[in-house]
Amino acid sequence: MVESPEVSPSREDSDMTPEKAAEHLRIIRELMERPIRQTTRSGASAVIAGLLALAGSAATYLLIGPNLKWNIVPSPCFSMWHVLAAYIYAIKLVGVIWWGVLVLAAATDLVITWRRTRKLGQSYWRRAQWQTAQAIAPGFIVGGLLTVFLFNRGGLEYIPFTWMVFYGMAVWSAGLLGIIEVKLLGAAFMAAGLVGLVWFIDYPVAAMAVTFGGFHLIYGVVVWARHGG
Amino acid sequence: MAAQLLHDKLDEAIHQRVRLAIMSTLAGVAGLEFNELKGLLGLTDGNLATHARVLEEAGYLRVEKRFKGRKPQTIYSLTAGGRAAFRRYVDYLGRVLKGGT
Repeated sequence: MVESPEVSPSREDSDMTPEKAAEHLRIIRELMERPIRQTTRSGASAVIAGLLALAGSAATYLLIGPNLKWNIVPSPCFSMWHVLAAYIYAIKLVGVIWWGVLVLAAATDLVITWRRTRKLGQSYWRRAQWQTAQAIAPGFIVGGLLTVFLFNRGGLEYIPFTWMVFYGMAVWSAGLLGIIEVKLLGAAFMAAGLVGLVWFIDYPVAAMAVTFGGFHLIYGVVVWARHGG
Repeated sequence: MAAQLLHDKLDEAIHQRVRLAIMSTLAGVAGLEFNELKGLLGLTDGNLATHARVLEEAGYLRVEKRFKGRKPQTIYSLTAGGRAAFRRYVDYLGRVLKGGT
């Protein structure tokens, strides 16, 4: 199973040097983090999340075009009212699609993590999930509320970038409990969201595909290669 | 002289590598089940049980037996004294690191 890091035996005490003390502290920290670390690394679930996001982006593009704006051309057969109604319907459908992406990705992650940690016992699983839940809750709750606000105020094009920033914050917080790659993923999302607000505001759908799709795929492959699925 | 004083404060019960590993692993969580701890540290049943007993006798480890369905479970957690001893040890290492010896 897991190899136990070495902490030297007591007889070496009298020659405890600052270097040795630093090494011991490093090992102790690693041991303390290990129970939580083990739960927050799943390359497979990130790959699935990335694929789901790509599918979501494709569906959004097909429904409403590249920039969430009203680019449905009124035709002689349909009145303005019909076009407007169709647009609103499509926007709502896009909302449902991304809800679906979120729910499916979260469910996949839960199932994969559960399967991996169940042999470690139920108490372990519950505690780790509870800690992760507390880490990500603020980002998801505040991000979700802002989404509702932006939707009601007609700031649709800001929503994808808001998601990136707040999702990035949630992932970063979860990363404090786990491996470094999680933190990097969080940082990448926050940076992408802010950069996107300034420069890519006209390409929200492509930005979703690159970040929620691409970032997750890259992260998933890296984690898979370095730590196993 | 200072080194001697610091050394005196070292704790025999936790200053053994497996026991220190057990204490460290438990320090970050509320408690772990016997098999969880065993798996995380890569120990054998006997090894973990022996070292856990030393820590229990020192008053650092709380051992709770309970049943989950029909299966008996042993839950290990640090006592307040255990957490204090662990903190003392980490503080000691911190002092050595800063050149306290």
